[in-house]
Amino acid sequence: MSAAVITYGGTLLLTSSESFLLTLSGKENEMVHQLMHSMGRASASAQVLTGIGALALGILALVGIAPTIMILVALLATGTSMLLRSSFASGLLMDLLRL
Amino acid sequence: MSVETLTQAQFHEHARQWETTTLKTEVLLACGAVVLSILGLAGILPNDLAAITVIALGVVLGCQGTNVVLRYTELLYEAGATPNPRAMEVGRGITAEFLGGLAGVVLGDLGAVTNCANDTDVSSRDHLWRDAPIDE
Repeated sequence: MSAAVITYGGTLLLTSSESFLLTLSGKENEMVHQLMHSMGRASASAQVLTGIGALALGILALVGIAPTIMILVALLATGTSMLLRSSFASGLLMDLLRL
Repeated sequence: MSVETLTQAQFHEHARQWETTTLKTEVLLACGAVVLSILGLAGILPNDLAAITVIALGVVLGCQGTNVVLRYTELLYEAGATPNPRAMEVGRGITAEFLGGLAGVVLGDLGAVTNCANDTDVSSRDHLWRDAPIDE
């Protein structure tokens, strides 16, 4: 299980640039482009931090320091990161914020 | 047997439907994973719920990979672009997502099976202990 957590942390680190690269490919005006650029950078940074945290917690669980708690906390962080990264959830959040 | 050819519009409609399905699946599974990990942290079957959460997050990663493939294919089609370094970068990420998801699902399955085996082992030992004569 701790190996799976380490795998997820590594995957989050490796795929952190995806959303950033995909937001760069639009053809908007300068203001929207800058806004999307900064949002993409923020989301990529958050994903990198979550990935590093999951890696650290997975290694601690592998070493044997409260493994169940470490694994569950890492899974909670990873799940939250994936949930917030999903464009469906972010669209819902944007709608809520607009209201 | 007749072979139907898809027009570009039909292909894009199909891709859009797949994208919506993967997005909804992704959100549902991620919500489930968050809830299950909180329940596990609260002390309700922590090992079993951790294994189920690992499997769910693996599927979420697979869905995200599919979603990125669909979106990036659409963007490339609209741009009429040839492969470039940025495409290579996203392709590597997609591969990492698929591989990470697959590894997570396999490891989660193994964890669940190990938990079940441990539970069965403990319960069978308890059963043997209960059936053993008292004077032994």
